[in-house]
Amino acid sequence: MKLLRKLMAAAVVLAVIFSITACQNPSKNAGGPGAVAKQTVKIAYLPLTHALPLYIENELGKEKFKNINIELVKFGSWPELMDALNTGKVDGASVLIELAMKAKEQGIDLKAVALGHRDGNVVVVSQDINKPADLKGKTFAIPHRLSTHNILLYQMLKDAGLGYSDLKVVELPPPEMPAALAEGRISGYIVAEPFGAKSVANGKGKVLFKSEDIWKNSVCCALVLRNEFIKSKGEAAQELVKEYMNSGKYIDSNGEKVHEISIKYMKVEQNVLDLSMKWISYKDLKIHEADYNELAKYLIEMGLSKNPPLFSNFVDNSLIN
Amino acid sequence: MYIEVADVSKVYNESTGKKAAALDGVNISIEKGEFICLIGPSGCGKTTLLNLISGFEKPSSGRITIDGDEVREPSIKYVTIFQNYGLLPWRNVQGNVELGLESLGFDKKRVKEIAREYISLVGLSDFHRHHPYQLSGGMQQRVAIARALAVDPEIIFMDEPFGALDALTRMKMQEEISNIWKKKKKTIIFVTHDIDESVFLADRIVIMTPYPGRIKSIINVPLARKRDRTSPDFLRIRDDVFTEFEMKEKDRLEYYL
Amino acid sequence: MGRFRKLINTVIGLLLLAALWEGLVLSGKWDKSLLPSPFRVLEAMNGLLADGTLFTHLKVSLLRFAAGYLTAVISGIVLGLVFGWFKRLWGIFDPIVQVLRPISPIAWFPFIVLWFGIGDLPAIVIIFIAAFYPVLLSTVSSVSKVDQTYLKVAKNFGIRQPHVFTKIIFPAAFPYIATGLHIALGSAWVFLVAGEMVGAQSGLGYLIIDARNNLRSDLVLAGIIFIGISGLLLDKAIRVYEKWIGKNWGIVPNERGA
Repeated sequence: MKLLRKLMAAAVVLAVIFSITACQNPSKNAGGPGAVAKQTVKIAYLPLTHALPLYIENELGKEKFKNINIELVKFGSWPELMDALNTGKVDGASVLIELAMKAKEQGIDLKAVALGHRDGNVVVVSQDINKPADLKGKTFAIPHRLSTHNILLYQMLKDAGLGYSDLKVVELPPPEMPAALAEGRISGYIVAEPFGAKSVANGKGKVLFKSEDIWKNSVCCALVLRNEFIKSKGEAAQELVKEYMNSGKYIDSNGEKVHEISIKYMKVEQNVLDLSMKWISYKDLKIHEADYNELAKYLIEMGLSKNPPLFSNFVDNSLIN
Repeated sequence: MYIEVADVSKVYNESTGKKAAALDGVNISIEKGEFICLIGPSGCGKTTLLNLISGFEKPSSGRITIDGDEVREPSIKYVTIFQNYGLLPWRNVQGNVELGLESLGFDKKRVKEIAREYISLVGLSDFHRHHPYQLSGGMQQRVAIARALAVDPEIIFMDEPFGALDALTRMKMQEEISNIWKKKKKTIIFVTHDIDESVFLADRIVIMTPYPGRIKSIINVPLARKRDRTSPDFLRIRDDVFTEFEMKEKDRLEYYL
Repeated sequence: MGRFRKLINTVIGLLLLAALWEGLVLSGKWDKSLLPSPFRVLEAMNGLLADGTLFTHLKVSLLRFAAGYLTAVISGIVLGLVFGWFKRLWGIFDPIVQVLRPISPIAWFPFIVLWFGIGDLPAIVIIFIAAFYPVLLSTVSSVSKVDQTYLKVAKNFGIRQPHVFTKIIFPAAFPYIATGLHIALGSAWVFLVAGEMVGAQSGLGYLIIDARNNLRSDLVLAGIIFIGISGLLLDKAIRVYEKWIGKNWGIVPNERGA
């Protein structure tokens, strides 16, 4: 009996200890003696090349930041990232702009403050496909209905005189797409990098179109912040976006260093990453009204959104200046 | 009288909606320090009667009193020893015997001492750290007895306690309980279906019959202990019991040449 | 079966599996980068062990698992005993439990993030959910399996609540509860990976998800193997525990035939 009681007590003590230690988020707040208390800004992301400016900002910012500390929170897939963004567990995210627009439509107060990148999406097809018409009756994968990739697909088909119903379009998680293409289960896909480059690198696929071939100024990923964060911590938000834009400029002129940094955040193989970087650009990360409205138009046309938020309500370019 | 059972009946509602009378109009008075055996075939209500007197069940009609107080619930003063011993498997012998004592408010040391005493009384001192599953049936029953005696009850109820033991062990245990009764002078009410057992142990044998359960007759056993199972006196009373159960033909003197 | 024999059999089984696997890879049917050979995976496993990554992540996962599992065990047993004893109460709560139980913890993600945030806590909560129900239900049913004789003995000796719970019901029910604990362990470990999907930045599950997103199938498999081995070791640990119960209770739960 005594033994039993001892056991139970031990179990309770253990549980309490573990709960406490496991719950503590190790705060990586740097700052030696005499450092000013910096605010921690949490930004969520998926390990894609489309979030490169964030990685650069995080690396370079360690010396540059005066008021803030960035904490990047990595997620494995969009739904969990959106959960965190919507519930305010992170202050912002690098995310598919359509997902953020949908959340805004449903009442979450988000603001898109900058682009993640320009272009950077490719249509990858199996070796036996040479033009869009070859895809008739075949299976094609996209990551999400609500994505620029879907819009690009739609546009590509429209330009070739085809319709959605001529293909079988399926939603797949991006990491599974290269395998599906290699196995012949799909004949093509369009997705964020580096998953497109993967198929090209292993010879199982080739690029049919780059995004700029289909839609000149496609809008894909954006840096989205929660409006309450912008309102309550204006200075922090300013600094965040300022350095973000600086990072965008930095990428263009510092290839070597950029490579070094990206390996840290995206542990893909070198040759895949090199390929990826070839078809993406980070010049001018400001969201232009014309481009945004074109996006909104497509969403309505494709029946993906009845009432996309207005540019003036959703995009906040004031932080860029 | 110490224990009074006055016109007691116990009726159960069967699943068919009918009522079955387990006991009907039972009357008996028991003196302090008596050894009573209740004996009868299945359905005669002997276990029910035991449960009623020990407080585990309530009579449908009639009254049961012990020392003037009506019996309402089980009490530590009247301990029952069950057929399957009821030993707690996760406690060793020492722990089991201490169980009842823990409710009596003694301090830990005293509890241990008293338990040790009774364990040695039943001859199991060498086994006090063993767990029940490591003991034979007879030994387990002895632990149950030690546990019951340790709280120094006034009455001990025993419900076919030796039923699961082999015949030789059973006889040994009968001797032991008889000795304990002699030493400790407890009132014991003992349920059995074994005629020899009842003659060996009891001061009075209560013969019960079923459908409905009632007391047919009570036979006195004025034999001194320790009793000889083969003596003529013993056998004569045994005969009487058999007769009561109509299992023996009435004495007819006949000679066969 | 002698322990040496058992070991030999296990090794043979594993070698056969590895040979089959290598055969599949060599057949060339699947791209090497998508289905890595056993050697590449071994390399990856070595890499994780050598630079200590494995131990760091394993430690974090184990801590989270322990927190979630132990919380589930304690709350499951306490509630289970109460519900098992007060049957009226169980009558009210049972339907609710039956409705909630079949829901995969993954379905709760949005609410888990809303109520518990991101990082360590969601992982702990998900493991809690996975472990809680088996413990609760086996405890409730274990109370009804308690031998009535013990309760009679308790009544006879005037043992009152809460001592009836601590001295009689809980120890009597414990071997059956232990079975529930064993099942809960296996069921909760499976959800480790899922639990670490919600913003955890460390852990075995996180390793696998990240490797998957980085298209490092060799790391994915390495992670899977480590998770499998850890789960196996945990299972063995709980079997040792069950043997100990057997010694002290006189019955061994889960023994073949018992």
